[in-house]
Amino acid sequence: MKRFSIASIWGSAWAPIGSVALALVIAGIMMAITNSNPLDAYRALFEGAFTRPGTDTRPTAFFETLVSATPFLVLALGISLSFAAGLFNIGAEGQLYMGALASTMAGFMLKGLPPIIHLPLALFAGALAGALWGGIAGWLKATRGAPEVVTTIMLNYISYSVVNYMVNGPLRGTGSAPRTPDIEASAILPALLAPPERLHWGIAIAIACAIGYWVLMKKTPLGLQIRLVGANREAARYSGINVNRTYFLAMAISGGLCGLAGAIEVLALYKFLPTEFTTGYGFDSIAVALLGGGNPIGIGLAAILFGALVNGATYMQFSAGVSNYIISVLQAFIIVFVAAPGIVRDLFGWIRLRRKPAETVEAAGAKG
Amino acid sequence: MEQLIAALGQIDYIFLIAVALRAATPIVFAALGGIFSERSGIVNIALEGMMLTSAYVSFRIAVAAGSPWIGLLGGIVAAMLVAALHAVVSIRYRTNQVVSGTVINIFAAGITGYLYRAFPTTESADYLPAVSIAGLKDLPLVGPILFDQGFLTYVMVLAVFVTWLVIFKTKWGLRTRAVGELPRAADTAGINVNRMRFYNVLISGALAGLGGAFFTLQTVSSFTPNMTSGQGFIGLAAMIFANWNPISALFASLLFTIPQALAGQFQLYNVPLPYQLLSTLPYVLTIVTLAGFMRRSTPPAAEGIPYPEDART
Repeated sequence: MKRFSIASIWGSAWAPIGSVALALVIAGIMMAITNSNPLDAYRALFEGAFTRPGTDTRPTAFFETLVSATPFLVLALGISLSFAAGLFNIGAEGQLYMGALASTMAGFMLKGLPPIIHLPLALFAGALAGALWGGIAGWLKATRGAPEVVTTIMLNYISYSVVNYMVNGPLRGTGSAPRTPDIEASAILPALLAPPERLHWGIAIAIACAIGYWVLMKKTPLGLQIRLVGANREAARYSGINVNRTYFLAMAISGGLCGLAGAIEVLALYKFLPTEFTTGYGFDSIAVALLGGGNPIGIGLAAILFGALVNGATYMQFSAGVSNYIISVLQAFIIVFVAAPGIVRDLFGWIRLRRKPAETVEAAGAKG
Repeated sequence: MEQLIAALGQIDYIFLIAVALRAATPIVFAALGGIFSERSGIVNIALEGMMLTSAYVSFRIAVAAGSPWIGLLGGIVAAMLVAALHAVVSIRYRTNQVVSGTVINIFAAGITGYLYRAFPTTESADYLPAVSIAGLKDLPLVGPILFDQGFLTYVMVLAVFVTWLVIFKTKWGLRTRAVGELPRAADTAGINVNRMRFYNVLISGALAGLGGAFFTLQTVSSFTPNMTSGQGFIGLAAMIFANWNPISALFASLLFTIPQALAGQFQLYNVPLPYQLLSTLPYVLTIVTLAGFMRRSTPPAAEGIPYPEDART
C-alpha cells in the first residue's frame, strides 16, 4: 500500500501551492542571510498587495493588485494557448508592444467616432497587430520549420525598435518628451471606480478572455485540434489534422491575446504611448502560464499572485527596506519547482534519507 | 540625402569597425557558449542570465580583491555554477530546456538586482588592461582594429579559433557533435551522452562568464541591474545566423554591431535616418535565415531532446 508522502502530493494539484510556499521559505532564508527580516518583508508585501487601504490620493492596495493582474492574466492565457499546441511563444513582450502601438494609433488618429465604435475598434486593432506578430512566427514554423522560440525572440527586438522609431519619429507628439499624442477620449477604456482608484474595465475583458479560452479549448473543434497537436503531433497528423494550420492559428490567437493585453494597458492606463511603457510583463507571464498549469482558473489565480507580488513589492521596498528584486528571485524559484518537480522530490527525499532511510525507496520510486 | 552622403564621406570607417569589434565581444562569447552547448544537444537561452551573473560577481570580486584578474576568475566560476544549474535541471530532471533557460534568466536578473540593492557600493572595479601592441597598432587599416583593443576582445578572437579547433578538429569536438546529432549512436559507441552534455554546458558557462566580465571589467567598471540588456540573446541569434560555426559567428556578431556603430556615427553627423529601423536588420536577417529563405540553417538534430540515462536497456 502506498503511504502518504510528500513525493505523492507533488504530483497533484497541490504542486503549485507547495511551490509557492517553498519559494517563499527559500527567498526568506536569502533575506535573512542578507540582513533583512523576512517576516517584516512578507508582512509588508502582503499589506501592500491586499490589505493596505486607499486614501484620497492613493488607490486601494487590492484594486491595484487587480490592475497588475490584468495584463498577466491576458498574456498568460495567450502563452498557455501556445503551450497547449506544443509551441513556446516567448514573444509575448513583442506582441504586447505591437498591440499597444496599433491601439494607440487607432486611438488618436481616428477622430469623431462614438465610443461604442471607437473603443472596440482600438482594442481590435491591438489584438490584430499582436495576432499578426505572433502569426508570423506561427507561419514560419508551419511552412518553413523555423523554431518559434528563436523567431519570437527576434520579433521582440524588432518590435522594440519599431515602437521606438514610431514614437520618436512619425507618431511623435508636439511635447518635449518623445511620446505619441493623447488617445482620444472616445477610445479610452473607462475606469470602474472614481480616482484615485485605477481599476478599469480591462479586468472584465481579461475575465471574458479566460472564459473564452476555456470555451475555445474545451468546446470547439479548433481547441481539440490544438490539444491533440500539442499532445502528439504525429498522431494528430495521422488522424487527419492539419498540423501546420493548427500551428499558425495557435500562434496567431496567442499573439492576439498578447496584443490585446498591450491594447488594454495603453487604452486604460497610459492613454498615450511612451517610448518604453512596459518592462517584463511579457516574460514574467511565461512564469504565470507555467504556474497556472493550462487551465483558466489556475492561470487566473497565478495572475493574481503575480499581480500581488509586483504591486506589494513597491510597498515592501518602501516600508521594510527590502529590494523589490527579491520578487524575481521568488518567481524564479516558484517556476523551477513547478517545472522540475523532481527537484522537490529529491530535496525532500534527501531530508528523509537523513531521517528515516526506509522511506526513501518510495520517494525514489515515485520519481520520473 | 545630402547629409547622408556628406556623413558617409566623413565617417572614420577604421574607427567604426574597431568599435563594432569591441561591441561584439560579449555577443561572440555568448555565441561560442551557445555553440558548445547546442552542438552537444542542450538549448541554452540561459546565456543572458549567465552573463549577467558574471557581470555582477566579477565586479564584486574585483572590488573586494582589488584585482580585476581575480574578479574575472570569479565571474567565470559564477557563470559556470549557473551553467551547472541549467545542466542539472535539463539533464538530470529533463525539464524543458527553454523553461530552464527562462527560469535562469529571471533568477539571475532577480538575484543580481537584489544583491546590488542589498549591498550598495560606490566603489568601482579596476579595468582589465587595454592591450595596444606597440608598432603593430600603427599599421594602416588593421592596426587600430586588431592591435589596440581591451584584453577580453583579444581573448574573444582567440576563443573563436580555439572553439573552431575544438569542435571540428578534436576528439572532444567529434564526441560533442555526436551526442548532439545522434545520441543513441554515440551511446552505443561508448560515449557517456549526458556527461558530455554536462561538460559542454559548463564550457558554455565559462564563455558566458568571459562575456559577462566584459561589461564590468572592460566597459563601465561598475554594475547596474540588467546591464547585459539582451546581448546573450543576440549572441544566440548570431550563432544561428552562423549555422553553429564559431568563425562565422564572429562575422555574424559584427553584422549585429556594425549597424549600431553606424547609427552612432549617423547621430553624430545629424543624419536624419531611422537608425532604429537600421538596427532591426540583423534580427530580420536571422529570421530569414531560420526560415531558410537564404540558406538553410540546420541545428543539431538532437537539440532540446533529453537523453534518458537508461536508454540503452
